[in-house]
Amino acid sequence: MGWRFPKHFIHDPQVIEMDDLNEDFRPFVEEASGALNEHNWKRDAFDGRAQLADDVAVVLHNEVVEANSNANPTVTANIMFVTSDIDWEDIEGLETTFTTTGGTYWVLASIQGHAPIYKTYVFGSLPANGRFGLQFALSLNAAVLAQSIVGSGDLMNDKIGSLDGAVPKGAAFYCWQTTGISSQAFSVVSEAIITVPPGTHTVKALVTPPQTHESNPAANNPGARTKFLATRELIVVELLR
Amino acid sequence: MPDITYLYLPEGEEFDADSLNTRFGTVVAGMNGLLDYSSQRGAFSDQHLTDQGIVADEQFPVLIRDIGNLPSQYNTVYTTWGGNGTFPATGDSDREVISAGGVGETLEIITSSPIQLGMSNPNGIAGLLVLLNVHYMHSELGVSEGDPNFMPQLGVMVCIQWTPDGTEWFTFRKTERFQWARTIAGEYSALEPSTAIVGSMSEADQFDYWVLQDIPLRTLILPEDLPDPDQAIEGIRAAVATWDPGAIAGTYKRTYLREANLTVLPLHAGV
Repeated sequence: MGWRFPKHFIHDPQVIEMDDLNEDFRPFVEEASGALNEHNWKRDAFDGRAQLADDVAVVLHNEVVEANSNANPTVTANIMFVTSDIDWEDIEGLETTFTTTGGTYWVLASIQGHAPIYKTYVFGSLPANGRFGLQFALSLNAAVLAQSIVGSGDLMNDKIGSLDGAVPKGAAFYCWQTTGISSQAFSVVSEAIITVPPGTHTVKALVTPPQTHESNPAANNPGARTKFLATRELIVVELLR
Repeated sequence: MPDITYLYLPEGEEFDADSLNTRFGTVVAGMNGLLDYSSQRGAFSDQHLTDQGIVADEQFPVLIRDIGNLPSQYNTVYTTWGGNGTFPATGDSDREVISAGGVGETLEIITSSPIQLGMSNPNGIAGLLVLLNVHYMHSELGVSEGDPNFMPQLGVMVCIQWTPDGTEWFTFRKTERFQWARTIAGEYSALEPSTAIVGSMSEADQFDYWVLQDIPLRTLILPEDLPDPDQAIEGIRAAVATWDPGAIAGTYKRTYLREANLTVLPLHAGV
């Protein structure tokens, strides 16, 4: 028999916990019904990895979108232009849903970003709005995982700004305190290790600019196709043991 | 659970405090040695399992390669998305392995024997979880000082490659990552930096030179990422090329990297 003694003794005036009661009854119920657990197996019961089930400890999920960074983004397949709203936006293709009995998960997103600092982009002119860069994060069931944010979770404290000098208009050093990553091309990774309860869960990768517009609010154009994402991958590693 | 050796008291044997303490001490030590996963319901513990771990690394001499604090120079220029090679005869020539030249300082892991990905294959490796970080120092363009293009208007591309034979290397297209030279001239292509713009510098090459940017990459290599899911592979490596999408004129185009590291985790896993 697995356990001869209840794991949790109940004492007056303790509150009776449902989980504790279940754990007290479970070994007897399972063994009486013929179920096996770790106590029924001998030492060195398995002599090779091949005897273990594929998902004995790790289950892998990934989603991939390929897009060519070495081409004009306006005519390239799978390029995702980022909306200039400062709300988290789902990254196209980087979403996975899984059902679990609960456990620890390692979530990784690896993303190719492009946020040209000035309007002269190497593959042609884009509207000037990329200088503030992009921020990235992961979400679990639509809740942003704070520990995964590449950028800032709080944009209220410090003013992000830029100046439009005559020459050079809007070059990199005219922008200050942006929390985003800005460049004609950059690579970013967002990761988190999370514990999830039993059930079905959805993980997504997110993106947002830290500022909607340039120094002139009238120039704000949320639909401007200025910043974009190319090849990207979302990986979810279930760590079951 | 850990081993707990408890010597039961035989009938007729005298005992004292020390002998009792010794007996109970084994129990206390064993219980204190419990790990969380050892006491979970239904969990198989390390005592049940094989010495082989979940990381199926038998064919891998190492799982991590790194370059220390040494600049390394690369002259190959990127041309083609996913590489310019033709499988299986000719590997990609528009990128080169990341290496500082020292012992163990090539980001390349050659397996001791060919492996096949996929749990249905004998190696039992579901996939390779690959982690790469590269410290991009700067790029150089071969033009004379004072030329409007003196400052680099270049970038760099890093990627993961595999080899079927230890000789020809092919790129996993999804692993290509690009970083632009984050310099004034680089980001503002029509601009030649001057002291009026960036301050009191006496020489043009005293400023606007260093990029010093980390290029991270994470990827999961699965059988379907290969030309044939049963394709045998003999190695994984990280490669780099100078990215010159604007075809800027210059006698040379080169890139310098500093620290870099490559980690490959071959996992026994469900997919």
